[in-house]
Amino acid sequence: MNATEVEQRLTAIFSTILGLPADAVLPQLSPETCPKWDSLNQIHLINSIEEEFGIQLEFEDQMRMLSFGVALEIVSASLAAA
Amino acid sequence: MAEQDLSALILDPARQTAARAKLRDTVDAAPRTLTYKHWLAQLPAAQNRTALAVLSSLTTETLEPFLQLEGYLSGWRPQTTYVQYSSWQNALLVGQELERSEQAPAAVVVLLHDTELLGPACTGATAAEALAHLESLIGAFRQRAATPLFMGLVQPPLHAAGLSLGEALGKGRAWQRAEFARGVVQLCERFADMHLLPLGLSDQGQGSTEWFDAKGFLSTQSVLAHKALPAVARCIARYVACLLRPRRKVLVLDMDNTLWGGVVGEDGVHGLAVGQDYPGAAFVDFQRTALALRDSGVLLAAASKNNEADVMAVFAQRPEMLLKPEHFSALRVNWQDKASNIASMAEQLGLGLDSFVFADDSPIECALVREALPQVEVVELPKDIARYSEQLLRTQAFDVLKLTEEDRQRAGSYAAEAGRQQLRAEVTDLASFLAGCNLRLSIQAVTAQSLDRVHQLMGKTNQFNFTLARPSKEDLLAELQRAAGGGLYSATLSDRFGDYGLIGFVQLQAEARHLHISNLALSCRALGRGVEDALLAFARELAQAHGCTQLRVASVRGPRNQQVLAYLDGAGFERLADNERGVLFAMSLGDAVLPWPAHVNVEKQTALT
Repeated sequence: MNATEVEQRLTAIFSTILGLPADAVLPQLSPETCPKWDSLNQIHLINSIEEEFGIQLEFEDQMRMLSFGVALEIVSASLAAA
Repeated sequence: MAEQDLSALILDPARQTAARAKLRDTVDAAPRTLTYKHWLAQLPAAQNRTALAVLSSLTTETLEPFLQLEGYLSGWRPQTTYVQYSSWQNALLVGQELERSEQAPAAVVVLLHDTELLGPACTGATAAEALAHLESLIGAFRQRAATPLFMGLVQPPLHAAGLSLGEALGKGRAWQRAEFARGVVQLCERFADMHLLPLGLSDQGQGSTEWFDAKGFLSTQSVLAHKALPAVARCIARYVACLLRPRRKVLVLDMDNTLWGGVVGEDGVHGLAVGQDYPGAAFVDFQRTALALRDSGVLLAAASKNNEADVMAVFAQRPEMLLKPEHFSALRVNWQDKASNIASMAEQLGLGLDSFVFADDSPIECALVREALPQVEVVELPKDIARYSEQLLRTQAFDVLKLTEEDRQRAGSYAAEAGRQQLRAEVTDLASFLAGCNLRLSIQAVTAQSLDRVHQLMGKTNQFNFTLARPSKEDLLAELQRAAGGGLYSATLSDRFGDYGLIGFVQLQAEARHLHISNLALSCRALGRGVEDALLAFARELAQAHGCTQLRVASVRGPRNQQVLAYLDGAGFERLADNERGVLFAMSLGDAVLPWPAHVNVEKQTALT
């Protein structure tokens, strides 16, 4: 999976879980800028990332995944390590 | 089915049965968070929502998107209140958490974490103590509300639940939790409208604990792994749905490649696969499933494009067939389209098309029925014949929380009724029909055993019901114990075609020189058979034996029981008093009045109880 593909799939996850159009999923998207990104949807985001990419996120990564940009960084690193 | 076609189907209010079946398949092909979230966004706006409360010491809110979609797939839309952590016990005890929501819940689900109630291993509660505590919580809830309760057990793996000291030390943790689980089952039997949810969330000791999220449990009390959420939500949605819609009553089966492998018209009776060896065994298994549904009250029917003689030869010459012609309440073996055949069977059985499920291996036949009769639920059998039973039972159409005696007898009573209809068609007048039925009526004092059925009858009978009183079971029991100079009697009817069961009730009260029929009700299934005449003759005979000279009947006017007044006029009663509420009838007794009907063979009580 190349970097563009990862970004596209992650965008689709955020767009579906948070109910946003794909072009609204920008690196700075965060719980502060998006009211639907609450603690429950944080869990659904983590679950979906794990299901769709077949990876396990570390607890620390789950806690600091508070913007789309950071999420992309975490997923890319996790895929590279796998 | 392409995604946009399914999206369009979901939005078509007339095609919801098909939409749910297709969406079910789509979701099951990839039961993941994203799938659920994706389709949830496409559902039509809910017309109305059913309030549900989910109580647990654990985090359960994560179920929400799954429960929403599974609710839709089960034909209802939930409005869920999650009461989590320590408040769940309070919600049962005092209920503030439940009353805070706008709508009182239609059902309460408790996801019971056994370790919470059992406490620490060694120093915690015994199973008996934990159960006593649970019973007090449910008892308190039941005093306030009759809301159906669903109990699901969550039993994390032993390493998370404390030590298992083993049986050697006696009553170790494994023993305690098995005992606790058994106790919960018993509580479900003791309390009214309390049901067990088979969530499968237990440590089986042999591995299958994929549902358990150790990290989630320790960090957020979120014990359910995300993989487990769809199945848990599905179980809840499916069980609650039983409260909200009637069960479908008829299963229409195809025959070729459904009940047997092969096509009888081409392969011949002896070329068909049905029997002990695979692939024949798969068809026998499917027949066993159909028979089990029949035993639970589902009527079986068949629609097959074949020559009738060929099909009858299969029944006659293949003893491996578990299904016999007499198991079918309706049969259409002809070359007409199946939709017309299903419609004509609906007419024959006197049931609506929304009571029907149709199962066929042919995608074309399935599509035709789906198109022509959108009310019918269609089960398309898979290519893999070993999965036929599984596919049939995936439909929720036959789900039921509790089987009644009526369910168990339904198929038999439809068969008896078909026999009666045939006799009625063969003879020209009613008298010969009745004489040909060999009716047997038994009139006996009501007992503790027959009280339940009498209570049901009084609650359901609207047409031939003298007072329309709806006594509670406790009222009837009190009457039974009080009855002096009178009594409560039940009537049970059978004929040569089968049993009608307990179909009549009469209450008598002697007052000086007259005997009062204080109440009388007769099930509409038994009307017009002379049973009503027999019940009056019974009252007349007891009145005379008791030295009464007059029989009195009070009849209340109701929306659907007008025939009672006409019947009593016709029987020769005089109207003593008549107003808008009802009529008081009387008749002086002599030998000639109210005779026993000649065609009913009566066995009876001979004195007032």
